[in-house]
Amino acid sequence: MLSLPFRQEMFSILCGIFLLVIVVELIRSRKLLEQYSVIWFLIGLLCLTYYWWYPLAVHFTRYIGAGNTPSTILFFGLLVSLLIIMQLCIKITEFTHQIKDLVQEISILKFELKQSINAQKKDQIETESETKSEQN
Amino acid sequence: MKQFTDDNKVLIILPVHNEASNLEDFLPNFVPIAQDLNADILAIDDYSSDNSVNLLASYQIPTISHIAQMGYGIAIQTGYKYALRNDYDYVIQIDGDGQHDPRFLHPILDHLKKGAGDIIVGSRFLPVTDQQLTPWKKLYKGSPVRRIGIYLFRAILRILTAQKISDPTTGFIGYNRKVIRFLCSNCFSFDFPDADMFLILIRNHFKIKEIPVYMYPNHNTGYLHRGCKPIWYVFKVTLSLLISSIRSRET
Repeated sequence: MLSLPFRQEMFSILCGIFLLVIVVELIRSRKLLEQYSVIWFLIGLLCLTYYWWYPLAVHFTRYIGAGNTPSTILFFGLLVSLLIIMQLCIKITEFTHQIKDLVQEISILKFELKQSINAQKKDQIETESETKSEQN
Repeated sequence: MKQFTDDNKVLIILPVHNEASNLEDFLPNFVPIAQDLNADILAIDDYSSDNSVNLLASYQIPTISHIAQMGYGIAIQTGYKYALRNDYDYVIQIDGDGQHDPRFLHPILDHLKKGAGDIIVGSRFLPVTDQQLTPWKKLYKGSPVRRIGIYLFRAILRILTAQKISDPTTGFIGYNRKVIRFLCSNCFSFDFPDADMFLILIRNHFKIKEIPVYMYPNHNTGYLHRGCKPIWYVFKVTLSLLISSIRSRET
């Protein structure tokens, strides 16, 4: 079957529109950065245009010797999900390094500030005691 | 307690996380020895929730406190970064859990100053020849999982570097300034800085020398030794060793 039934076409178009609306809303409300939205826009567009590229998926399924077209589409869907997870892991690693550097920098700065304040207090006390002994 | 001054060039780093009960026994022995060395001490408190920080303050030991718990590796790297910023020539790291005998700070520093190596490693597996240094208590053997890990790391290091390091998981190590600068970079393996760090250091042409030290059991089992952590530790360090062997030399 090289074309989709009408109900399936409509369902995929509605899913695509729904996903695109959600992504736009997440970007608008600053819950999702534009740089991370690209893949979701692509997925939404794929859903929207499902009826158009479905015949290609049928030909590809026959070419690779797979059983049926939905399982081919499911396989590629899983593959894309894994790639997204991999990309997120890479991003988390980057953030881990950044957080580590930040915590270390803040901790060292806090320590140096405390040392500096203690040194100033000590100088102040010494100056006051010198002044008092001069007055006496 | 010796003043914390900028003129001193030796820094002893003491990473601490909830070690109050161990510090009570450790500090009275450690502090006088560190003072003899004319070294500065810097404790790195990794967000302890017990009395560790107060105990360190009672001995007037300057302490950098992490604003969140980051782990042992990051704690010691904080110490390295401080040492680099403040132009220390030598750094010796010693654990605050009482495992490391502070009497061996002297020989580690001596070897560093003589240039015997860029890194002086305290090994629990080498025999102590100094007759005057007898152990204070029963020496540390390690849990079965830990011992398997040590033998495995030793073997992998030997195959990959042709260098024999008898104690690749020791935390009792001294470094010179060149190594400190290197360890402050992102090359530092901060989750479990053990055998894989030795591999990276050897591949970057740093000279490692081992000397014998005494190590004692920690009577409070640390968080690294509980549950499945030892198994994860062996897996992670083995993986890191194998991956590090195919990395290019760090610049």
